[in-house]
Amino acid sequence: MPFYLIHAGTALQKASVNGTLTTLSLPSGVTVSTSYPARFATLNREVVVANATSRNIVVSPIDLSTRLLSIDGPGASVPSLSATGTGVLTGEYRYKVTFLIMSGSTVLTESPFSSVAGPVTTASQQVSLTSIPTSGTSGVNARRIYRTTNGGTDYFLLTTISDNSTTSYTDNTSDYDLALLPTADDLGNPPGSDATDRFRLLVSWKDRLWGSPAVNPDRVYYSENRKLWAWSATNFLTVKPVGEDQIGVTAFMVRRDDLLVGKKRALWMIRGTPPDTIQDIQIYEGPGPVSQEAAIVIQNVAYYLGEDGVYEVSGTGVSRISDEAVHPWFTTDTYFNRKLFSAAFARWNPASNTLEIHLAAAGSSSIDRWVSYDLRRKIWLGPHKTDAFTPSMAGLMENGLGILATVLGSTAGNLYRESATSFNDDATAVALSITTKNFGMNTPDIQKFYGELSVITRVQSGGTLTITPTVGGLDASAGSAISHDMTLGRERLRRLGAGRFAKLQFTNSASNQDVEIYGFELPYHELGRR
Amino acid sequence: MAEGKLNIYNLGDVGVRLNDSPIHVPDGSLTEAQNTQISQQSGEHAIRKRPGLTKLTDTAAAGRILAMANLPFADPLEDAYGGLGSTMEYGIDSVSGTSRRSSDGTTWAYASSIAAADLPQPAANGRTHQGGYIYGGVLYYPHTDGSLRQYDGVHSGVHSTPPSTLGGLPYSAIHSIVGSGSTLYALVAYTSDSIRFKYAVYSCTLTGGTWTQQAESFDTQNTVASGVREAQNVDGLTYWNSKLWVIVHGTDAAGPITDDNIVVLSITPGDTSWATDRTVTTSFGILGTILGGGNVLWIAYSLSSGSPSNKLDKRTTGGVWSTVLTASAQILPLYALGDRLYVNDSAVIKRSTNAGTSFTSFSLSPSPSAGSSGVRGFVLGSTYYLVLTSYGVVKDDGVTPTLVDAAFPLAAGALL
Repeated sequence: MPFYLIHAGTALQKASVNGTLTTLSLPSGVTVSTSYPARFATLNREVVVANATSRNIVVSPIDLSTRLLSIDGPGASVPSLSATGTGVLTGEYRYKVTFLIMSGSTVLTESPFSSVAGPVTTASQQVSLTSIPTSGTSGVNARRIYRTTNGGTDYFLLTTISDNSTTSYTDNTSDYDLALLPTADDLGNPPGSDATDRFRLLVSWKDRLWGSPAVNPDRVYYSENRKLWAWSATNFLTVKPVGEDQIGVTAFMVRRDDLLVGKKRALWMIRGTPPDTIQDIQIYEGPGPVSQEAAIVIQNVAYYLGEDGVYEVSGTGVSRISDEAVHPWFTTDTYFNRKLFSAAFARWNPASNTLEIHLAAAGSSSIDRWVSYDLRRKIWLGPHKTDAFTPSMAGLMENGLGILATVLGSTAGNLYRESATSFNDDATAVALSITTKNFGMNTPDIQKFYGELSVITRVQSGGTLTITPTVGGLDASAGSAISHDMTLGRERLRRLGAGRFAKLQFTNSASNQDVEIYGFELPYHELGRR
Repeated sequence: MAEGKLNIYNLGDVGVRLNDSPIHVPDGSLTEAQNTQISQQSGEHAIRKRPGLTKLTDTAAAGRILAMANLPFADPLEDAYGGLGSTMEYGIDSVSGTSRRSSDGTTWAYASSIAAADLPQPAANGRTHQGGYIYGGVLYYPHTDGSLRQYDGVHSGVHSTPPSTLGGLPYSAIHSIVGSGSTLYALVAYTSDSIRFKYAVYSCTLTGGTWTQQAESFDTQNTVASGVREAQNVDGLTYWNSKLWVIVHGTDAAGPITDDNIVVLSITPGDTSWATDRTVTTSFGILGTILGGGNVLWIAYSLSSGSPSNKLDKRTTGGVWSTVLTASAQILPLYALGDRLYVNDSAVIKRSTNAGTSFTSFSLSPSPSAGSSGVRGFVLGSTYYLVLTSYGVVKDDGVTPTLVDAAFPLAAGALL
């Protein structure tokens, strides 16, 4: 079974598929913020956590141990060099040193390079390195020495010292042997390695980690290939426009072979492979994602919440899918608190194949509503709510059958998974409320008499469906409620009365009560123009 | 005057429409559809109440849940025999049977995947806690031929072989095994007679290969060699809070032992010297077990004097030690899963789900013996199972532990 890491309060916790929680021990000095949601990215069977943590950390999914992603390098502390004895080295050589934490032969992390030691000049000699720096960082158990070829500027791995104590080494490796190895990767510590910066956004894509920091929010940094600890200071792309807001990059979305990069009013795409073919291309001039949590990729299509609606990014381009039916949800203050769009979050519900976007109701300061978009029928439903808890996070979690199911986290710290059998939110009834359009029978100016309503529903073992008719003008008040016995499946109910329009509201708030409405019929006859 | 009948059977086809004026919106449109969805099972075109959201557990997380990541790896705390092809499996004995297997916690059958001859035997001398260890869905267990074997629920075979000698003393037994990342760590005993012992912690990768000694070895009493760390006994290895931990009885960093204290030592893998984390002063103590789980490191031990003399202590990640349980007889930690701990306290199973703040007692019938130190537990589905030697398997359904396999007591030298 897989498992899950959650950011809860000031802790990182492991959650099993049955909800069992275990708090992870954090590296010394690392704290978890309640202000920023954790960003998780998986590479090399390890999980990097950023944004919420005061330093970037790594979680091993094998045993849940944690460590800092980066360690300090030797800095200006470099070995002393001297030519000695007889050897194969002739020319001018330079050296650098790094610190490592290794597990067996596996590198867990490698520090940035030291400053350059040398050059040392030799004539058919060896080079003696003394005072090789050692690290004061707990866990460092190896060091590496890198060297140039004669007069060169590229560094090659000369040797790995498998301890943190040896301070001398004699180099007699020929340029030929050394240059058989690939040049050393550009090492470096990324933003979030100390308290001066943090990765606001982080994602794993094409065997690298990609992150956007807080200090330069228009930049996207990337690690070396499959080396989550190696971040050259020059490995970044700038997503334009630059410096025009304090938000910078707002979201990453990995879609097929592309990394979509959102800004508040633009959408970019990163393509290719570093360092030679990487490029960022603007693909949309217009509202971009306002929240990383409300940007999601479902079956090769990216969806995001923009400041004026919900957008879809597919092979045919960028389009706003909320335009035709529910534009007022996102462009007025009637339905939702648009100030909190930046705190919205989205999820895919595999059971109903819907995109679900969680928002704050108008006047609310909590994310207490959600709307759903049926991906197959391309229709909107909602706004939905629960009276059992206030959602704070949405995701997917496998159930006991190993099948993905939608899951919500709450402000109280509980996880909720969609049930296959219950119609309660935990112990609280799900409150159904459906309101139809005003039916005017294409004669909105004609007064009509609406006769006996008949309703057809799925046959239930018990329960009633409340139907509240509103008959009259467009400003009519609701009439008295009608009760439909759902054990009957079909029931002919009372006459609705006279008016130009009729609309119906169907409600049910009974505990654990299923309701499925197939349709209704409403006879009428025109009374004439009044 | 015209008359007619409105037939609306497409409530699930149009959804909410707010853009159109009230008189232009098409039939089937809704202005509100709270807590609805279109049924995916024989419900096309209709509309229904959405399913409920069920709380996974009553135990709340540490606060507001802000983010979640799906990790497509084996759950390390499924510990698990659940990780072996979704079955639980535990060893019986080395003579009469092989092991017992269940896929549902109720029906148990003999499994022949590990041949009887391959089950570990008690060592001739020295400590004999030859325990199996599940890590990453693989069971690692020591074999009588000196190798470490691995079993993934289907296949078994040689994983690696610990060094045959240490300081001139021959290999005796693997005391315990723990894992971290891609590395296994083992506490290995070397002995040639009843009073000459050496212990060392070794590491090797999950894929096998060479064993590398971690930090100093421990010479036990009467193997006087100046400059070598000595300890009378080493009784337990665990990996917790990014460190390896051992509990020893009397130790001195360089030479003959000068006390009989109980000492907890730790190292960060790769370091060269053990660091003393805690010393319990006593004239002579009996060691129990050291066990890391969640945010807590547990040790159980007995003192030669004082009251109470039998204790279960915990250490927080901040380094604070406290006693959480005392008893008239030796307390034996059974199993830790996260912050959940099971102990055998004078033949009563006690469970704590709050890191030792309180314990719930469970009396089993027939009562397990005080020395019934079941050493392992596992999770299958959402149920915890404990294995008690000379007792059987106990299922903890969260209310009352239920005996499920007591007809097959574990024999001495059992796998678990």
